[in-house]
Amino acid sequence: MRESTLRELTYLSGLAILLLVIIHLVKLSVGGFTVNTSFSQVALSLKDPAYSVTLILLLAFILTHSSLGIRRTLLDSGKSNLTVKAALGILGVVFLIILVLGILTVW
Amino acid sequence: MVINVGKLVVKVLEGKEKREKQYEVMREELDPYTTVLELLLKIREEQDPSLVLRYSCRMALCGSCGMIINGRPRLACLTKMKDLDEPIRIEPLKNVGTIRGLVPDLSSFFSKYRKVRPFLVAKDEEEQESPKSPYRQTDEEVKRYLQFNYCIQCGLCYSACPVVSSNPNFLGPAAINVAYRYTADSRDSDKLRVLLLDTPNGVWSCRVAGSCSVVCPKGVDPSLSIQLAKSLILRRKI
Repeated sequence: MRESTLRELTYLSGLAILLLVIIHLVKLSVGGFTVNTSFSQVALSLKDPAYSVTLILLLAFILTHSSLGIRRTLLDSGKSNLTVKAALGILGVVFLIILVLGILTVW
Repeated sequence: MVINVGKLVVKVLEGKEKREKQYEVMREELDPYTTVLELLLKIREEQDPSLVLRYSCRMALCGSCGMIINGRPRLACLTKMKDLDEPIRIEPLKNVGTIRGLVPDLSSFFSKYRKVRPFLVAKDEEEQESPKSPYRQTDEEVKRYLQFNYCIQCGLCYSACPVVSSNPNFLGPAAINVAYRYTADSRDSDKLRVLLLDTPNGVWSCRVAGSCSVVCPKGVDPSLSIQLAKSLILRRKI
């Protein structure tokens, strides 16, 4: 994949995160933050498929954006391609586990 | 090296080990428009023949006398002593090796410069070898790249770039600038050059620090050409 494509992906995922975080915060704020973060209220919110999907998408975009950012940081530090690929390989596995756990949480 | 001219202090950190030397020069022997290059040549002639530096044209055309003067990459022939705070501190260019004294090893700089194919490429080999007619350009076509054509390959931008400092694989401002210069030229048909820029260590490593444009002695503004190159890459993809 070309570097410009990865950069576009970084920008787009960043914008998506911004939008989804705003939705997430608005959802938490309306009616009172303390009330909305109680266990019962959270469990109730997660029953809403639209909101659950929003959270999963937010997690997915965050993991994508951070992976690309870490990749860029390693490259800019002068690390070799092999080191970058190895680091991203390990990170990919960890992030995949996080994503699966996230999906299972809202399931 | 400390030079006392009534007394003017100049410190020269030379060589790979950055050994500091001090010299004394009478202030009366200099005038405000004396350049750093003239000062160093005076020191070499009168006090220390072992002082090694690179220079040629003495008029900011060749780019040979690049060095760090008071913490900033400058051309020694273009830098007047009256514009400098004292003590004057001189050292070899950063981000490149040092051959000896104040002479930088610009081989890495030039190898990256050559990598981007800094020459006009015609649409086919026959045209490249034997052009059939003159290449004419309008004023507007020339203006698109003229500013970026003034690069004298002095290496000051490369020395100032913080990204080159942390990532030696980065192409650097000068290489990307010349790549954009030829890509923006209406006479050029090279499709490979843009692909060379669209790599992890190409234009996308640039963080828009702007140091390159600040230190450029010819007003080239390589930071601008890098951003224009990014724009060109994205537009061509569309």
